[in-house]
Amino acid sequence: MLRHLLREMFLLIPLLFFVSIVAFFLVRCLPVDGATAYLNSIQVPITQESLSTIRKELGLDEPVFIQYLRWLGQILHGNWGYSYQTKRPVLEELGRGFSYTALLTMATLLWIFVCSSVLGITSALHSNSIWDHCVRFLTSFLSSIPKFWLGFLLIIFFSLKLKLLPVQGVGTWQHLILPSFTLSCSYTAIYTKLLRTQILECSQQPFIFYTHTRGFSKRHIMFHHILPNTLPSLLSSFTIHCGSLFSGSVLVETVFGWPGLGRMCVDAVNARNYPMIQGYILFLCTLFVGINLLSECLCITFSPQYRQEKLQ
Amino acid sequence: MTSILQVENVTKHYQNKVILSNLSFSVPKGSCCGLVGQSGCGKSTLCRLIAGLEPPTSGSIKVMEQFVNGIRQDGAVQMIFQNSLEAVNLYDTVFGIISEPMRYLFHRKSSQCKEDVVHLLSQVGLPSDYMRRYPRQLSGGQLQRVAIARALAAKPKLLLLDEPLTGLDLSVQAQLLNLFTELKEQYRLTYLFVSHDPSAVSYLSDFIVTLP
Amino acid sequence: MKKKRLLLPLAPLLLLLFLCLMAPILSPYDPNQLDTVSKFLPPSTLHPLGTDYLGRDLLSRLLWGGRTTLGYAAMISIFSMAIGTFIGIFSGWMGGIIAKAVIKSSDILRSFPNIVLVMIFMTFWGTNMYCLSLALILTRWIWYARVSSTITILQKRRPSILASQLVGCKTSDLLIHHIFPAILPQLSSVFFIDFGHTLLAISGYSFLGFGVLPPQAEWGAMIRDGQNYLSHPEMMVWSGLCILIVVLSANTLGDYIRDLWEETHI
Repeated sequence: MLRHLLREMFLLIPLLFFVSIVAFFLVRCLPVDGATAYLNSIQVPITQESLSTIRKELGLDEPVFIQYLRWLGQILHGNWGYSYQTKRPVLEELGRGFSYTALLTMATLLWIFVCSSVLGITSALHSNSIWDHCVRFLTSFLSSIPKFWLGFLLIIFFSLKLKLLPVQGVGTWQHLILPSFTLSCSYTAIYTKLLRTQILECSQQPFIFYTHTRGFSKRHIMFHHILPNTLPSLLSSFTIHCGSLFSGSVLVETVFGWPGLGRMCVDAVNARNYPMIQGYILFLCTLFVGINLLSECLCITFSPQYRQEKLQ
Repeated sequence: MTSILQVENVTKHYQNKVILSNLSFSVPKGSCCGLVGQSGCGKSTLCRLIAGLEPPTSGSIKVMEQFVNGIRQDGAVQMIFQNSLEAVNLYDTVFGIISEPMRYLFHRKSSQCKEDVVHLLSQVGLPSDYMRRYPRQLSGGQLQRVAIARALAAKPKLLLLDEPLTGLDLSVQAQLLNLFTELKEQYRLTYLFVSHDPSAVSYLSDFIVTLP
Repeated sequence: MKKKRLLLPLAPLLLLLFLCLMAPILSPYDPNQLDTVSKFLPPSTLHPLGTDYLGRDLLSRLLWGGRTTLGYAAMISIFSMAIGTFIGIFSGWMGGIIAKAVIKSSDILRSFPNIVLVMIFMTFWGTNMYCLSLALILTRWIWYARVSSTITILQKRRPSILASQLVGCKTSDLLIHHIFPAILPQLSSVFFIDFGHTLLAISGYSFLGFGVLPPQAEWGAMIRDGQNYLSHPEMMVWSGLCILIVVLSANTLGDYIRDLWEETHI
């Protein structure tokens, strides 16, 4: 497996290069010239003189290839530029945003794990009962509800009417509850449905019937035979959602005033904060590639079929 | 023209596997050639080569004295497949399936084909009200008859029968074998009958080619 | 599968579609008509759902907003479906590298957060509704392409294709009469589910301030207007409820079509 991982990491290097080229050239495709944008941000009047000075300073008069290499060198040394809005280093801002997003994501994953296990297993065990129908309706409901609207409803109910939880912002662990719960809802719906289907399908298999005849208790069969067999498909779904979870949920962060990566992206786009946008693209793609690698490791570890497929 | 089909030194490779090796035989007009061999020895592959779907790696195949170079545009070579459900368009009615050759080969309109479709259905032993049915509403044996009717509609000279009796009841197999015999006489067809069932092959065929 | 079950999701969807389509006739007021004296009025015979913070009638805004939201969602879904199906069938039929590229790209896009791609697109080309629609079409066509491509590849292998080629069918006939009918059931299922997702996306972006600009009425924009006045929840409750009903109906319809197809084919 180590050999496979090393090979995958090796293949990632050209991909990351490609990503850096895309990030670099995207900003060069802007309708507004880089020098003009910079002068706008530092509020210096735009004249021929100031433009040519800035161009020389920023190295924009050099050939594109040289500019790219210089930019790449800076990136690798940790200099990702400065945000037009806060004047602080982009990497620092992204790091801060990511730490908040990571916290939110961890809490969300906890909600997803707890809720979908409980709902999925209980509805599968009592399939076609009233509880099962309720759970199935709930999953349809949760996958159709607009996240931002749900967030506001929860705020109105829990924060304004019942005054149990804070409305917005960060600070205490109570600030984490509502945003993470809101974010977890649609994923809980997906995983509950998936878990229920997988458990029901697995229970029909002949080998489960034989475990019954061998005298094992229902609990043992569920936890030692059925659930491990549901892992592969759950993990492969997880790899798909992993990326979007970690890159920050723009809507939920905006509703709850959570200063994560998602909200940073919205603010940067609104303010045309190009160094920030460029840094965000680069950061996100690298993160995305890293997370894919990690989830591939998870899949290989926990899913024998996947392992066989990949390592044959 | 004495041979409808002439296979000369045909070899077929798929990547590194040799499927057919230096095969030669010919089939005279009006006869039935049985093709037998173990599963996976290339019988279906040979049918696809004769139909013109793929070229052989080396060697040549002649149908009606012409070299096979892609799928024939005159419908002279038709094929009956093993799984009739896979061989018909599931989203079309029986009428649509049987009239397909008439519409595409002979450029006739749907409205002009009705009488001929009824005639063909009676030839293969199916009632005319089956025209409006969909393939899923028919049994395996009935669907195979529809496939035969479609093949006949193309006015073929050579009929490739690629294990047409597989998966059918013995009584249905017997009925189909009799049908094949009747149609061969009536339409003066030449058959290449591929099967791994020796009794069926010996019943229908005039001579047998065995693939190693 | 009882056909009656189809009524349950179809009825509210068609009803809302009809009501919003009839907005010019049914709407009691102009949706942008300001009346600062009548702010935050409770529901009454004059204003069945009340008024918002600028005195605009909520029912009128709901109906007209529905026209905007549903209209754009339908347009984007239809365009994505057309482009995606065409490319999917073409790539599936050609096979080889083209088909593999389509499937691989759709795998990557599926896990990459679409919202980021759309925002990046809007940074460079503008944040108005046309750019948003284009960005959404560019990110959504690939779902349809994947479904079409996968099914085309499976169908291409069937002996029925060879049989039809032997009776003179040309490639175009095969694609229209054999391949396309096989894709249609799955495609319709995906269309309804995608319609729901697109609707959520449009209202989400409008909520963030992209896409539909004020004062134009739109369901997501109404929720954005309401976020500063949480003590008057009626401003955002009705539009959110409408979004929920439409998306729930669309999802259920999509699942129903898929289950129906699976039942007849397994």
